[in-house]
Amino acid sequence: MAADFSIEIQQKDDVSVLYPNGYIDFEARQSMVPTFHDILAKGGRKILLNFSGVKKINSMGIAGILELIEQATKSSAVVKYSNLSRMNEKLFKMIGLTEYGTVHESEDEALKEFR
Amino acid sequence: MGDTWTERDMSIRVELPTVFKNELVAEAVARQVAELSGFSEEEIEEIETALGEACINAIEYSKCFNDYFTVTFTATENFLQISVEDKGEGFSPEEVDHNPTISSKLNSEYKRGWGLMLIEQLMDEIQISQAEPSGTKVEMKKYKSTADQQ
Repeated sequence: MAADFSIEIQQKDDVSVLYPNGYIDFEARQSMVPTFHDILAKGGRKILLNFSGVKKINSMGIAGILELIEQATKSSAVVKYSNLSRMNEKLFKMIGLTEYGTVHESEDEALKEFR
Repeated sequence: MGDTWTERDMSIRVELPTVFKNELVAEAVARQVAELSGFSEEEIEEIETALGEACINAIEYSKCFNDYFTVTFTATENFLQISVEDKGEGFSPEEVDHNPTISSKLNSEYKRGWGLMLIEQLMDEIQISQAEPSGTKVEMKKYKSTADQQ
């Protein structure tokens, strides 16, 4: 079944903005985690996850996002989330991901908060 | 879960291969049934998410690949009941952590184990039992926000 996942990175000043696109499940985790690791390895310490292209996240995808948070915490990086759908924001609150990164309605709002 | 059955009720049964991403097929059916039944968009999203988690458990923990799991939707005037039944080895709900916390998962090898908690929080009722002759049956119910719970 086609439910392809991709992830794009854009550097906006000192903020690395990640654009995951598609269904965040176990397969998505396999590309998100190394991408995130590369950013940290290159010294990125301000990371914004823009979820505008993500309609669904399942619990296996949540586990992958936890890996990102773990990596970020170990590297003293700051993570923010933007453009979460209503259901995905609800999931983030239920899991407790909002304790490890602030949620912003838009990318612009999140970028302003970083400055 | 023995509520009254009327002529306006509908029941749909779907059999799906135990292959990941088939949870999305079950969720698509749930959306259609819930829309026809008059659930709100927010409720539909909660039903989809909870069902997706139950299907993932059926696919993964049934340890019964190359087989099928069954999703049954029963819609009545006031609620939607969904059962997910696999033919696997089954599990004991008592052995599952119903309240995992993010602090316990961070810096732990095992970051999974959120599914049951999500189902319990997103649905109004959940019941887990052993399926016959083997496997696990997860029954969950969601009431329409305008309906009084029985």
